[in-house]
Amino acid sequence: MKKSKNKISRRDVLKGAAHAGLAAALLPLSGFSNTEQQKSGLIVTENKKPGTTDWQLTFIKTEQFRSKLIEGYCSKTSVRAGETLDIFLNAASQTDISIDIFRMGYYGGKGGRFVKKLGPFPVSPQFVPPIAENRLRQCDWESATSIKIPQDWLSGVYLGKLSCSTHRYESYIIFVVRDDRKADVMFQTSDNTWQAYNKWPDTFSLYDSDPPQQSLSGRSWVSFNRPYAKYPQVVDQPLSQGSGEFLLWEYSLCFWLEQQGYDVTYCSNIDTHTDPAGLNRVKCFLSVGHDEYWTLQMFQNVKKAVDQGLSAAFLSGNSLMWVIDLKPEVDVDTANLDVASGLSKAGVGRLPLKPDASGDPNRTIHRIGRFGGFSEVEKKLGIMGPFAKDDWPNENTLIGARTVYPFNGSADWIVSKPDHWIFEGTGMRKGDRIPGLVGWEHHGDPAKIPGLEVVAEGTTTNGAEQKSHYTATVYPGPKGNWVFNAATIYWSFGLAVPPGVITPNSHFGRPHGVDERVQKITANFLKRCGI
Amino acid sequence: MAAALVPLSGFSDVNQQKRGLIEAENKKPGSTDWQLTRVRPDRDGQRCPSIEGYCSRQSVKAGESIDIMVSTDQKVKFEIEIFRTGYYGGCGARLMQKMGPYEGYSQPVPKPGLKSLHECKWKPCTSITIPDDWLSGVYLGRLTTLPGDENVPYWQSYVIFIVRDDRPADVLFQCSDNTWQAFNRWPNNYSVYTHPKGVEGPWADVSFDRPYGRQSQYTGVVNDPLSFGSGEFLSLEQPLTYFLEQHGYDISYCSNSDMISPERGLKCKSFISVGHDEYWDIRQYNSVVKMRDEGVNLLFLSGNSVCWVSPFRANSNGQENRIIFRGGPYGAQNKYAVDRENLNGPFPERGPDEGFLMGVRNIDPITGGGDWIITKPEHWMFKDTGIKKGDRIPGLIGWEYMGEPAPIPGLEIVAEGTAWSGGVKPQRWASTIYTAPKGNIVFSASTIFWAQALGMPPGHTLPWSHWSRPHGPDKRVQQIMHNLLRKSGAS
Repeated sequence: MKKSKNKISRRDVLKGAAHAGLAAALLPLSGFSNTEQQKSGLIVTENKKPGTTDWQLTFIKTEQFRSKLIEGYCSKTSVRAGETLDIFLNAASQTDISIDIFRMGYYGGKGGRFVKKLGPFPVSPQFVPPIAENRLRQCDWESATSIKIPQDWLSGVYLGKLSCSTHRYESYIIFVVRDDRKADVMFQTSDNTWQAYNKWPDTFSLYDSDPPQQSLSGRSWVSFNRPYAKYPQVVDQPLSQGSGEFLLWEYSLCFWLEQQGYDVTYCSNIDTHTDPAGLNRVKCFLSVGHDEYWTLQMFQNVKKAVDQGLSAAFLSGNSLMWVIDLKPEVDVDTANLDVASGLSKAGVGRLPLKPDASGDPNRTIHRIGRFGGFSEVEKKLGIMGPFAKDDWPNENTLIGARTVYPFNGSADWIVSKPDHWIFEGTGMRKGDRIPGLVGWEHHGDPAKIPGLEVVAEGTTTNGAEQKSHYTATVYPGPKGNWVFNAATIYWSFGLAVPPGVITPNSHFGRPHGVDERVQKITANFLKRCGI
Repeated sequence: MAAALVPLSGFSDVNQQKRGLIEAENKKPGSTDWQLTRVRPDRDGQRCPSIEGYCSRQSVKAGESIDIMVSTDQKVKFEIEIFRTGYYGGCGARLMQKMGPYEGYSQPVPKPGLKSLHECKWKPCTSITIPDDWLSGVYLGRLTTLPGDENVPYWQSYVIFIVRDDRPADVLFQCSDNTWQAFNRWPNNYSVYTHPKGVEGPWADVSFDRPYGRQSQYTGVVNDPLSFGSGEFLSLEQPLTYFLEQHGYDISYCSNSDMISPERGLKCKSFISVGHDEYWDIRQYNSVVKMRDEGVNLLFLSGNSVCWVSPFRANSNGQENRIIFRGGPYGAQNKYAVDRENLNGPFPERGPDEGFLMGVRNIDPITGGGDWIITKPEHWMFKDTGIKKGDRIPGLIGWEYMGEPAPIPGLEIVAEGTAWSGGVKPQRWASTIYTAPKGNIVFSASTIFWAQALGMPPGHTLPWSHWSRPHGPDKRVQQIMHNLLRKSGAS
């Protein structure tokens, strides 16, 4: 406990420094008076630097989803140049851990660039946190190092590859470097969803619950203060060890955008919550992959920005299904902690949470509702909720369509409106298919928005042979802006298959990978958004 | 008749023209839509009874015919699309012919025969006479049900066959189909590894007259849904095909069963063993020894190769080379061979010491993962790679390999290191090269994963086994491959 207290005070000092105006003074060079030309040149120039495929892990030891031999997490989901990121590391026995930092992009097809080696740092075994109230497992580890992000680290998704001196196993940490520059495209990572599905250390995702409670309720909480466990669902990807779902559904889009030289800047789900003004910096906002968990604030921020002229592309499925509450790090009452075992003392039950959370902001999430309220069929299922409030805004008023039951399944992406501008130059005719592109979750039930058009639709089938209907939509915003909903988690697979990426296979269906038509549709949309 | 219909390709071509065959073929339009989209395994996970099939022979020449047998568990129409695999501008395959629709119906799963044999005797749905312009290659037949209702999902799987020829090609690519079949558990638990009397004994016969089930080790090596009906070609061999055809090498293809005599190989400058090539009839062994002695270059781009003798036998119709079993270890009187005999035998056959063919041998343990680490960077095979001593190709060793180099004069160890079986048990592997009497070379890459570093065709899934994984295409390995092929007389 002493160790932990020391650690907190040390981190408080660091936080204090960051809050005391340091961040403001050190805004990245990148953002200020660039002309259009220079801005777009940022990504092009960055991608001319030498890449490597060595950002991939080679030796991965997964035990119950977790890499307990070497693992870590970061103090923030995103950080600006000039700001400081704490990195927390754990190992099964005392060792020295090095962190190779890579920025992810195209880089001549290699997919990543080696940026910096940190360490080695001495690391001793850290406590697996006790199970607190609401099944929360919030790590309270020593900070192995802090890194102040250099000015020349361009906004992007950064992987830290962890390796050590006592064995050959590796895993990742992941963080987003964000900036404040004006850019064409905002790539939002879906890290709320990564965390919702994160089972670390073994059965502690938002989908795990205490029986007989139903799992799709608000009774389980998860913390960002823990490593990302290996992804547990529809694709067996060892590279997800520590990297959330970025390398599953998001990286392919990042690779393609940077290959094409789009002027893209990156942010985390949390930035969409905290920084509504940041949305006004770009022409088009991207929701990527599996983007299921949003706060009401995120919805309101993006909705308002779209009303003011922001274009948006939901290159994602099952987006904005759940409303979450985003809380700070909580204070766990450790009066009944048995220090030797790291668990509650016998007969005590879960450690309670103190009422006033005082830690880092935006580190704990749990469900508080269903966007749009439960549909009749969802109510009948009896597996979701209960929640105190049901009248949440319908996500289809932003996306154009919404999560419908059955939520998951597989289908070809079938063109229904080939004369729409989004298909220009694709040669696609009505009924043409992109094989297996819809999965493993989708959107249907299009909103009654003036001018909304369903551009692709069809029937999905899930593993239990239940059918659902998906609709990909485009609608005009009020200021000549546009909103596209691809209606599938897998969209990015049609754009690129970077090194190390594994094609998913679920509900008896699979996408095929790169498809020129998907590339053209995406480019058409971005072009229409003035990019 | 076959002789009269040998494809245009084979006769008096000079090198230039031969090389042009693969180049010209690969300029034809490809399609990435050779992949399976919807595959539904049954409860045991090894087969997809919705639609599955097999071919009447492993390989076929232009002018000859091959039967395709298909079963669908429901009465439903289906079609067959035949694709040739190659490079094709990165698409990986070309649509050759669309066949059907046919009326599908259920064909019986045979009762296990003597030694667990499952020999299907399905009625053919069609017979193809291979056109003269179907270039030698590995061909996939994609089977797709046609439910006729947009709201009813279609189901797919593959059949696979090789089109071979007799032209004097630079490179002969031998598919490891004995090994595909040895591991094939169709319908659920009937490979040469699953007999109740022992996992590595001579007890089980396996038949080529049945569909290829899903890659049997999909939960532990590579989980590739495209393996339904295609053996282990797509996961362990296709990346090499893709690379060789991308670069226009003059390549011709054959099955393990085409190597029971040396004639085919003697017409080629080099011979490639690829991926997982564990099971050889002893006549294959003798053929390849003869080829080496006559000057054919041998490239073992494979691991665990030539480990077990697998005698070919005819099926119940008298068709040759349709049944194999584990007949005994290669390795002469080496300890590992004797140990296996004692543990799993008695076996009717004992193969010679494979180390004197390949340069390296099967060893115990044979499984595991590791980096491929260069020990002799000055060797010509590393020219223009920029490789230094100790440089590593991450995760390229696995999931099986070879070691214990044979005492062949002039044999050089070009790479060696440690692999960890199950992530814990260390084993030394070695990659070797030696010059045979006629100045030809024999190279052993000593890893099943070698091809993973050469190409990444659409739909390809990288393996992950023994807590280790290769990274995919690597320029250094590609350059090594060019160096080896050029030295082997390919242009």
